[in-house]
Amino acid sequence: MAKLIMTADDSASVRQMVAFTLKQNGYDVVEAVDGKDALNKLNAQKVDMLLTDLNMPNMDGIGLIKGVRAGTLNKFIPIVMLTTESNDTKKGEGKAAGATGWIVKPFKPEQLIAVIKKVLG
Amino acid sequence: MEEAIATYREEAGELLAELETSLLDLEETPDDNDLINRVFRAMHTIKGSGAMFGFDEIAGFTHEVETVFDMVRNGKMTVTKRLLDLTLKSRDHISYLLNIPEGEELDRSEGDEIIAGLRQLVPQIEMPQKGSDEVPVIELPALSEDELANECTWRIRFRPAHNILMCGTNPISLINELRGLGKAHVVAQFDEIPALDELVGENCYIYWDIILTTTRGEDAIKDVFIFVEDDCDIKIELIDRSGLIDREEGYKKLGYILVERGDLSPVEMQKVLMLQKRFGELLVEQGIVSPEKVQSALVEQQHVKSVRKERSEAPPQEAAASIRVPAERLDQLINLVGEMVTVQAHLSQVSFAGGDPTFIAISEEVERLTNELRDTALNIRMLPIGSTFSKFKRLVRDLSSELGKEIEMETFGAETELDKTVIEKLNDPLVHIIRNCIDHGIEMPEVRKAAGKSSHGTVCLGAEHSGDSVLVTIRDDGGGLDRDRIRAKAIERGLISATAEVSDKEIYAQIFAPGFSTAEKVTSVSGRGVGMDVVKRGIDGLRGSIGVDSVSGAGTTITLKIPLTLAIIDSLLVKIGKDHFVLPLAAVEECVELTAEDIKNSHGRNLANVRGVIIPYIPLRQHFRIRDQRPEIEQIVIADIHGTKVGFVVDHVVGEHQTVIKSLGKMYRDVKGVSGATILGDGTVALILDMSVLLQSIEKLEHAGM
Amino acid sequence: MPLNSSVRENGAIIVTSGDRLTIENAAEFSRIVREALEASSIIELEFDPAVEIDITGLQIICSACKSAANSGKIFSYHGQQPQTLADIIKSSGAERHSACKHNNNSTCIWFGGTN
Repeated sequence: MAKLIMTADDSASVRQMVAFTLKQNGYDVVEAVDGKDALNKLNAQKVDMLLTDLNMPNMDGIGLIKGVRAGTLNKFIPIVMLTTESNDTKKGEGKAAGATGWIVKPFKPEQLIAVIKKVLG
Repeated sequence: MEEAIATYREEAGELLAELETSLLDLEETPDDNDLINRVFRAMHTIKGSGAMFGFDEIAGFTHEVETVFDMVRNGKMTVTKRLLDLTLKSRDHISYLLNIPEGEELDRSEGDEIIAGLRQLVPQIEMPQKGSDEVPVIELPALSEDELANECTWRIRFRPAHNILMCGTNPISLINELRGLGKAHVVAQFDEIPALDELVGENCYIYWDIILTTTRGEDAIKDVFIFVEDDCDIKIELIDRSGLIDREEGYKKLGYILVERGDLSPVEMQKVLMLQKRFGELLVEQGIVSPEKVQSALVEQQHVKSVRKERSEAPPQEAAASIRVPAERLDQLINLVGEMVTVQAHLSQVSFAGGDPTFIAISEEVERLTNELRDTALNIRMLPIGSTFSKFKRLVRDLSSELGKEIEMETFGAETELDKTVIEKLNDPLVHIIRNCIDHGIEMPEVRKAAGKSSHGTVCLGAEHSGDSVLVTIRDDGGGLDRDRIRAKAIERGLISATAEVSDKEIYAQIFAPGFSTAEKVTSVSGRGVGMDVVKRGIDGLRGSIGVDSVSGAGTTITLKIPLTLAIIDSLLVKIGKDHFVLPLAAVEECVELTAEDIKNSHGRNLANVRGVIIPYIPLRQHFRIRDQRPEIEQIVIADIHGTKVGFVVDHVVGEHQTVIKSLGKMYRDVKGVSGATILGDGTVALILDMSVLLQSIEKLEHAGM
Repeated sequence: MPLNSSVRENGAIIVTSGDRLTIENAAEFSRIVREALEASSIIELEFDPAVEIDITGLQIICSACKSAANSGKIFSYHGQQPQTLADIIKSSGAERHSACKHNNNSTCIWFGGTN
């Protein structure tokens, strides 16, 4: 069965690009437009992985990661953060909140897939 | 993806509008940090997404402007009228870059001017090179020559943080990644797992010792742990390398390994060494080292021993075992060998005619050597067919997902060797056949399930040797060919007559006719009816043949029989009148006489009775309109062409001949029944007959005659 | 059968695996086994043939085995070990062919293979 991945990003173009790349590589995708939307959906639906942007309105990525880890249904899923920050502060903050890994924007589709394969095994 | 790019354009447009407002506001209040940050973020997003969607020009340009605003943000520069002017111009330029129509020449002058202007504002600081857009993501490590030459064995101790599982990391997938780097032995250590009352179920207590032999360097190993290196204890040590010159036989003693790992102190080792028993057992008995740790060290010992053994058994100078040669040099060699074979044939002829025994002996020796030289030279061009196979895996994957089918590809015989040129020319036919298997052969998953098959279809691609040919088989477990539909279509197109009794094989063969397609719908994959005739032409060009076999509901097998090489073939040299012809020997079965009486008895129907079997023949003398007097007794060369026996009538059979194939010029490309030419020992040219085409042309005549 | 425990007539406790022994129910699995070990001296694990097992499942089995050995009790399995257990033992490098001191110095019944 195809694995289901959620992409949470306030930029529609990034969501579309991520969704397109994932679908091309045989994954199923569910989209969320911000942290709050993502957390609501994750409380109702089991997914295999979460890809989240860090800067989002209505609850940022860090808040979302903390929310997922404090929840039940998707408590232990791998979470990869999309970050534009080249400094390590945000990365460390994300890791401390419970992120599994990260990918630095801008990235190419094959880099995204490499990270997903690494994390999903 | 198109859709995502369109969305990016829209978003960037909105960001540019926001940027403009912010810049104009900034003119009023140049110290407003909030506004400065907003400008910076807008640029940053435009740049970042731009690079992802292939707007490299935008990413590169915006990067420069962003760099300046980063300085403003950090208080290294102040907002001036000039800066705002330039930034507004930048905004317009980005907008221009964003909406530049496809195919229109890009005008960089405006952008270059803006950047030059911005640089003047910050003369003291060096701007980064244009286009040097850093993409700091995990690099997929490439193999450097250096690494390849150096196979190293590493000892890795991976002790995960207790909370690693709760953060979504699966240590086993990391270990599998290590396994992917080379030869690995993995030992999980359980000694830190506490009793149940102290155990936190979600914690990770297991840690791992991994012995890995790989040609990839330490960085590749570190990359595996990139997401966890900060909170896990990872020790990577080099313990063996292929470059070591004076190494001892075998590998370190167990005790030394444990000492090196820090699991045993040298003093303890000495103490135990005093006792004379197996060292590992002693350690465990004495309770100094746990059995798990001893076992892990033993695994390391075994691993390195076996790696070293493999290495010493390999030829000493592996690097020199093969050399790379440009393909054209090989072609040149083959050409020269071809000439040589021709000259040698001439030499043999002359020596036999002269009758001098010494001369004949020398000529025979030259013949033997030439044959060996020919075989060796042809062998050099042989490549395993597997390299082509792997390409098809990708094809199958992409096409099946496009069509919503579940298809796996299996291969066998990837090591089978074929002439390089043949392999190249096989590519297109195989693409068409495999596409066809996927599109028409394998059914949709629901259909398969309904038919009681697994939803996964399989396409099997294989190669094997068969005499002087290679059989390439493409088998699918799909629905099989629809005999009736192909027949109906073939009748509709006038390829076979409605009343004719035709064998299954002949009906299936119709799928290779030009423009033939039974698909009701043209899909992106196939159905236009171009394709399978390409296969036919391609395989004919290789002097190969195609066999189709199909079982309704169970699948189709297509077998391509391909000669090993294209350059030189064994053949039968024959003569009609003064002209020589060459027939490929592979298909020739026997030669029988044809007398004038036989011809009379067959009543002009060109049928010969060979030991009770009636075999049709083609009088080549008539076919090629050779006018000389026909001899009393002619010869029929009987050949087996795709299972059909047919005779070719010639005047004389000269004998076996090494034929160096020369292609005919463009002028003669459309001549039917001749596939090439060769030069004989005495310099005359003989045409190489294409027996299957000759057979077809005769069959066509017969159909027309009926 | 879901993850649960039941007492047999001879006093042994059977713990049924349910469909998963993974991190999601690791806390519950370890609690059930711990309580069983407190209540009985023979505990047997009965696997669903398709049970999903991850590292946490492996650890709890090992931990239970150690705990049982410490208090002279028996922690074993009932019926067959599932293929999924064999798979994760192999992929995680957990095979043991040496004796385990917690297991009366015999080969581990879980990770040592059947021979």
